[in-house]
Amino acid sequence: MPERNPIRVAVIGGGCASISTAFELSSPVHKGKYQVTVYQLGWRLGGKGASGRGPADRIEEHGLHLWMGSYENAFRLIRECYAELKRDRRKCRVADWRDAFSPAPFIGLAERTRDGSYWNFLSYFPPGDGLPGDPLGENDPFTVTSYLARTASILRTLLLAVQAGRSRRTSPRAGREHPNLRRTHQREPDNNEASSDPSQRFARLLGLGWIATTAGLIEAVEMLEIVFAPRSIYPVNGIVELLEVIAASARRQLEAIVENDPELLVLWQGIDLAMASMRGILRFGLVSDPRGFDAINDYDFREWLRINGASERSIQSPLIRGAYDLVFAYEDGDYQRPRHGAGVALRGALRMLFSSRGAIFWKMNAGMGDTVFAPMYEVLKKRGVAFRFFHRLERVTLAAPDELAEGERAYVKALEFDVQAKVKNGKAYEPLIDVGGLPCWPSKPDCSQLIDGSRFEREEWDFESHWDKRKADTKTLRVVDDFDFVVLGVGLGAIPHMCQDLIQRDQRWRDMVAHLKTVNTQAFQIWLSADMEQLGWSDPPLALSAFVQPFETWADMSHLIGEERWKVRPGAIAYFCSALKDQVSPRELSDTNYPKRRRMEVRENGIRYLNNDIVQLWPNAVRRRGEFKWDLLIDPTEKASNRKGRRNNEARFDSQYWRANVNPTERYVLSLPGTQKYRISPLDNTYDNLTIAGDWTTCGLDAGCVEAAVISGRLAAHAISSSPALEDIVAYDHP
Amino acid sequence: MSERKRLHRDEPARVGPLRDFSKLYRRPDSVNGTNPAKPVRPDAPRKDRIGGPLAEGVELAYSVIEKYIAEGRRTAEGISNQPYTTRAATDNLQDILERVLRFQAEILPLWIETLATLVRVDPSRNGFAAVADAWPRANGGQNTETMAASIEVVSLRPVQVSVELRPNTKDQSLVALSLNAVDSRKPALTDISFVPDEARGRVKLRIRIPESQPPGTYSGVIVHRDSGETRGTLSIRIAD
Repeated sequence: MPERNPIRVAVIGGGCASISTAFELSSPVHKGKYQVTVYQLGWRLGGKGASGRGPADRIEEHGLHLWMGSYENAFRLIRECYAELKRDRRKCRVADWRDAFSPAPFIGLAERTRDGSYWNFLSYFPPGDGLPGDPLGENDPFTVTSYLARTASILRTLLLAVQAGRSRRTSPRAGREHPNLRRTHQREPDNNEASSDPSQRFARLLGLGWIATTAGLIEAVEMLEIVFAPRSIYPVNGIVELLEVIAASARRQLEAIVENDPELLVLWQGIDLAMASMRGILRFGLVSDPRGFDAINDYDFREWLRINGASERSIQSPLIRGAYDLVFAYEDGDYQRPRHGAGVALRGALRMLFSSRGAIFWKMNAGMGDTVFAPMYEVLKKRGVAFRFFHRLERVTLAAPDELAEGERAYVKALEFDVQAKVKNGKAYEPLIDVGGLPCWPSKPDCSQLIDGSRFEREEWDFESHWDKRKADTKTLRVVDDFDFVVLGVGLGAIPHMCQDLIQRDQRWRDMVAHLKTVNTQAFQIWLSADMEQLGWSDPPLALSAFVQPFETWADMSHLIGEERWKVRPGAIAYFCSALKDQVSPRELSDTNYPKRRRMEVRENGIRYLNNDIVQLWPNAVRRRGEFKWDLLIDPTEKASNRKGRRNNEARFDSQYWRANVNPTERYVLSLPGTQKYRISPLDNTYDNLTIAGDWTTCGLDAGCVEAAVISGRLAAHAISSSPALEDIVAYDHP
Repeated sequence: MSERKRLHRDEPARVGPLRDFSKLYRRPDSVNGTNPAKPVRPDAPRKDRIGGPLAEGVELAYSVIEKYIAEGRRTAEGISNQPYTTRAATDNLQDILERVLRFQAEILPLWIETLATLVRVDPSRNGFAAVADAWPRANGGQNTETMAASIEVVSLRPVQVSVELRPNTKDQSLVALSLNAVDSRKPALTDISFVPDEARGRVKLRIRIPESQPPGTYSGVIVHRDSGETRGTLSIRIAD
């Protein structure tokens, strides 16, 4: 039975963090203690993860969303959500989380060769045991020693791949198997292998002659695996000695060999970076530093790798470029300023590489809105969570200092909203549409439910634009009367626009908005009549990064074809995304054409990319140098029979989907060196009745991603309800 | 109608993640509150409490270091005989050894601390880290403390000294054998002694570097005067 006087929580925003908080606070374990209301700008939940269904029910995303296999909290959340939802698979094709997500075990990286062309390096990452969100087993993967052990393991795999590559090149009968496509490389027992006594093997390896051969290197790395195994205890200086010997020998042995072989070169760079990271972890004392990896956050990741002996070539390699691309780590979106805090980067890389389960990445089998936010909306609604769409928060007002009793902390007194639209007959807005039995979000609001809806359509009201301030009404919520606690779950970029009171009252809030930076992103999606093989791409579907900037990140999303409703079935779907350089930020509200200008800029970038760069990936997609085959693009509004009237030039790009994510709340948070200390925790109670939630908070990961947002949302719930327990937030406590 | 009051949040127990490796371990089955993490009582018997493995690990480590030094010396002596099969290894052997020793010298100040942490928190164990157990207890509960020592260096040039002593090295009957460079043409450092440091009540390692000593890294072992057992290693780097 619900509580008679529940604690009322106003959750502002409907992204991953806010929804996680709502999910925790509305959990049955609280027995209705909290009455949660979510206030959402516009017509849909999702924040930066919002998606919609457009023409032909095609999926239109904010960008490319992949979940990592290490997103333990996020997967746990979504698994619980689907379990509670109990969808009937006979009626809904996405009934379970396994229907919603598919493993994506391949990662691709592009390397520019000397002649200016690009060479793609494809890698298969063997996942850890189990599935993301499963209970953690005996050996917690989120430990430094676990990371070191896995690094040693991958080092051996890389070395074996190099050895395989060398053999292949020297053997005329060598097969064409790609060394990186192998799951693991099991080494056959060596007849010459001496005693299995580790000390003897150690000593023999350190005899240097042996280690100077690749075989010796591999054996040495095997020793590292033993050393870093969970139950091993070895003196660190011995380990570092061994590492140093391996590094020196590997460099001498391999650099010359791999010089003219891009495939081996990338492998070597992986080895070099893995060893530099291992050395750095030991040399910087990160195993025992109470600050964990935060101890190196004042360094840029590249700078830190350089300090720890990585070669310049490795530091500039696609492996590192890909790591920066993954998190849009370009200050102000400027590719000349790649910057990423070393601690955050190292933590993220280790978690991604070594604690992923099931696969290194997971792709969604529909839009992120459809697979994550629609089921969440349904579950939360069933639990009694209220949703107020078309509510744009304009101002958070604090109680004035003279209103506070002695010793009383500052608190939020009022929340001022613009009500963008009102629903007819005082009803609640019904946000979901049915796409072949699957509840989905539309790309546009259903104006038929809104008072004056036809006028909004006619006048093209943009309910998600920061620059469109048109509204139907205003609303002010007051503490005690309307709410008890506030969860501020908007994007960091929006904070200065709505929280001036909070910023002016507290130095740390001023520091946070002054030092933590965000960046615009851009994305486009295309639907092609030819399949990937016909386009000239012969590798498995994958996400590829470190390619030509902008749009250096690309993913084959053809698995979504069956999810959309096309008259002419596409052969392939591809998503592209990247950072978008800042102009002046924040733009003045009066500059209402700013979003349109940026959107046109993205259009131009997309056209230029398809004309000039896509040929490196899809050689058959161009008519001639500098000219994309525009008729490959499928226009959802075009009739299949009307081939005469088709636009076959670059204007055809207009039938595709692209966007410039320039709204303040859409901006992606960066983890620039030296800025992590300015983050504020959801647990912080500077403002008595307010907590914050988002990937921009101190949430353990401290990087822009779904997992960070979910952790932050869980922390915000803990701040209000003391649940979940902090130790139950997976890997929140992490070096 | 009930009179509502403004609600307050409780004071948070903490506002940030625990980054300290030594405090991170918790019950692996504690997720979602089904089995909340519980601290392990420091005095509770723990089957995997470090003892045998520690001794074994440290023993092994020292065995490795000694063998490494001996191997390196033999290797250096045997360079002219080209005993190794790969040219790359022999061409720059001296360089490799120098780098290894240099790196060792650099890392040593961190070693004791890091080893302590590694030993203190066996990551494989179940259960929350007990309130910090200062140092693993072995040998029936006796602390395996490393002996404190002062260092006195007499040298005209900058030197870097790295000393490792085995845990449980308590008495002062130590002797440092001569320190050798990998390059066998360089004379050994011999004027090294352990003397009582009366002021501090501990042992003092006194090192005199002859003016004519060539720069480089010199390493050797510290042994027990009576038994001849190895008790640690000593490495000195003399700057150019």
